[in-house]
Amino acid sequence: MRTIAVPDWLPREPEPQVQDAASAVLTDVRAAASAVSDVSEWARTNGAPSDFTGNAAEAADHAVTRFAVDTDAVSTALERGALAIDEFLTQMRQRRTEYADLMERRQLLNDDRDALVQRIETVTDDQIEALQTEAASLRQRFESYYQGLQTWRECVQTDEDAAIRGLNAVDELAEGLAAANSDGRPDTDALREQLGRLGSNTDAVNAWWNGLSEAARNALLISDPDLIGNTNGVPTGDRDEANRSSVQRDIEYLLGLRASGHELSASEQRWLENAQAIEDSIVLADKPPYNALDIDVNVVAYQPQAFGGDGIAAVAYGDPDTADNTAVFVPGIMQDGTTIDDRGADALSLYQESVGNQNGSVATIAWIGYDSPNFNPTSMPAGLLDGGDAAHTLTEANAEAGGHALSSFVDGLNSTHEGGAASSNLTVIGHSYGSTTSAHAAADGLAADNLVLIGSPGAGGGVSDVSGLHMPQGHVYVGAADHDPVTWLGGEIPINMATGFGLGPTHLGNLGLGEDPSQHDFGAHNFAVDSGQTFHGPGGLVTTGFMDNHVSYFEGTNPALANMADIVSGQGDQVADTGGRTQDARDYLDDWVGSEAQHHVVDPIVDGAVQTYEGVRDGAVQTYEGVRDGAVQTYEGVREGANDAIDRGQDAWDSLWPDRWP
Amino acid sequence: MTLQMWTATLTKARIQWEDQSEGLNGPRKNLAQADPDLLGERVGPVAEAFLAVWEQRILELRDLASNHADALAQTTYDFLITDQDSVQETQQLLSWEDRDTLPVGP
Repeated sequence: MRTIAVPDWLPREPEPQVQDAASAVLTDVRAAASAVSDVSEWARTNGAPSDFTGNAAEAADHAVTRFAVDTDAVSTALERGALAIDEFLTQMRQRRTEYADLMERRQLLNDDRDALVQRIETVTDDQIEALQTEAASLRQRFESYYQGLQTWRECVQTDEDAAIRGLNAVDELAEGLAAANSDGRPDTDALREQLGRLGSNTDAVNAWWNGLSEAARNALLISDPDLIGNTNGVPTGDRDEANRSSVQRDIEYLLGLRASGHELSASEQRWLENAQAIEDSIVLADKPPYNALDIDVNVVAYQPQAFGGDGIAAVAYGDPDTADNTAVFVPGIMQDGTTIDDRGADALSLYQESVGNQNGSVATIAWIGYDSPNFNPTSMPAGLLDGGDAAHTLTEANAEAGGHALSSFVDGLNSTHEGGAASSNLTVIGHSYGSTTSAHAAADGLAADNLVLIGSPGAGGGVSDVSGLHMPQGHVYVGAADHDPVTWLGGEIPINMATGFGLGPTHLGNLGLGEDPSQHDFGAHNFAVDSGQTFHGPGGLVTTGFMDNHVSYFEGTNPALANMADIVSGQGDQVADTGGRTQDARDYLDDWVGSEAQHHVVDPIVDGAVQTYEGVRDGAVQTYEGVRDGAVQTYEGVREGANDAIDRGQDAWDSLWPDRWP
Repeated sequence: MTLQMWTATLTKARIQWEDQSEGLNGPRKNLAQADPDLLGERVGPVAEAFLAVWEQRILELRDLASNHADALAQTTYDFLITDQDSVQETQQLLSWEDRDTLPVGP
């Protein structure tokens, strides 16, 4: 009897115990280390100087000096522990990849084995020798698999041993003290100085960071998470780790204050809201329908104290350092760190749509990295309109400064992309005032492949047409809903203030934040959007005009979303060009005001033909007074220095401005 | 009148120690909420011991800072009482016009 020896079916290896969720442990340890490091820094600053040469006993008895030593020991021990955990988790990520490869290999081997067994069942004598050879080959492949599996198991054990050694090395007080005094400890002061000298050169920052040892990077993540998490040029994953630990540190600190009976001040409450909004933006990706996409979320900016407590925040869905396609979404007014979760929802919507195009990997970033005009009273400079700094919307000052910040952020993304900037298709999407900001960045030189302006009150930066935005030809895209009132503000609209006493109106300047980019003559690629609904009266202006029409570009039912997703995923050439508007933006506004005069048959004021319309433009307050013969309007605006107009506009402000801008 | 005391310095120090105490409360909670089981069967127990040691140490240092703040608060209070008593006793020894004399710097 002749036999064919077939290897046994391969059992499935249990999944590695350490999964992505374990990174939460590292975040907590880093957050703790960072907070203790802050305390230690205070004690070091207020203790005996390091070069003190007087009575050693005097210094040793000094409570602050001793406290500095004790807290430094804790901070150092946690830093070492974090390093051990970080290295362990890094290795485990690699092991999980290897495990997936092994299990795929196992499946193939078992399939081949099953096929061989089937053929053996019907084998004829003349086939036996060939099948014996095939079986021998299969046994060799099985043996090779077992060796690979054994090697993998040993690697896991080695990684675990290293982590255990690392943690055991600093799990006693004496070991913490010894670690704090060891020569090999990274000098974070010197490292910080090195980073400072690199300025805003993101390529240099990236090269410097990548050249640091793992221990040095870990030490900086703990001593200066706020710096590392917000430095353009530092890789996304490291920024994320730094910012997550800062968020955890802040939340525990502030909740601790509150739990101890301390009533949070307005600025502390806002600080907490900033931190919690980041948490919420992370959680969003774990909820339906996005949880099915298994999205890698990265917190790429977190500065809760920026802009007088408005805060800076940016969250990436997907990893922009490896993504084939990356989009940076720049929202408009009324956005700050506390609304990053809402804007994160927009970015997620865009992510889902873009990934659906199956044209490479995607990362979408909600970026609130500039001082968006809003109503945080604590950030309002003295003398400005009560209620906030939205009057800044009338100027391009914030957009210009924001444009510089945006450019630097985009430079950082280009520097940190693992395949180099050329291998990433990068799109900047500006909405509302964010479009003005984005246009400013582009006018000054924005290193992006595509620029998308939606719901724009004007392309700022003194640009008269698409050539001034310096983007690749055909890569400036515009979406403007006909019934989006913010898009009626592009171009020049005079702001006049009635002076009374028979004198003519005083010209205060022009409304709008630059040219209307949706004009055909502007030369951009206009894509189809939902036109929105018509509306009447101040109430309709807010609820339909602004709340519905102006903020619906990311909704799934709006064709704008699919068009933007095409652009983001590198398929902009498939987006139909609607040709753009041939009617001035101002005409849209005039038409609406005129139709309102017809719609509301009330003329109790002047000559039986004048009505008062009170309106709000994107972030500003104007009182539209007097529609005469359907053609003449006087726009009375709110502007610094125009105190009379401010007083009159305040009533309109209070009644019209929504509590929470979408 | 008053005796010139360094109560402002005491108050500043008290607030600073209170701040450090509050600053250590957060990291203690961070370590308490970390779940070492996520690190697997072998590393998890070691991590648990590591976290426990430093959570306990932070708790001690937090309480130490809080005790320092309390001690300074008590000292400030004692000084104020002493100051009031001293002022009263001293005033009785001064001429009637000089009783409310303000402090003069060196």
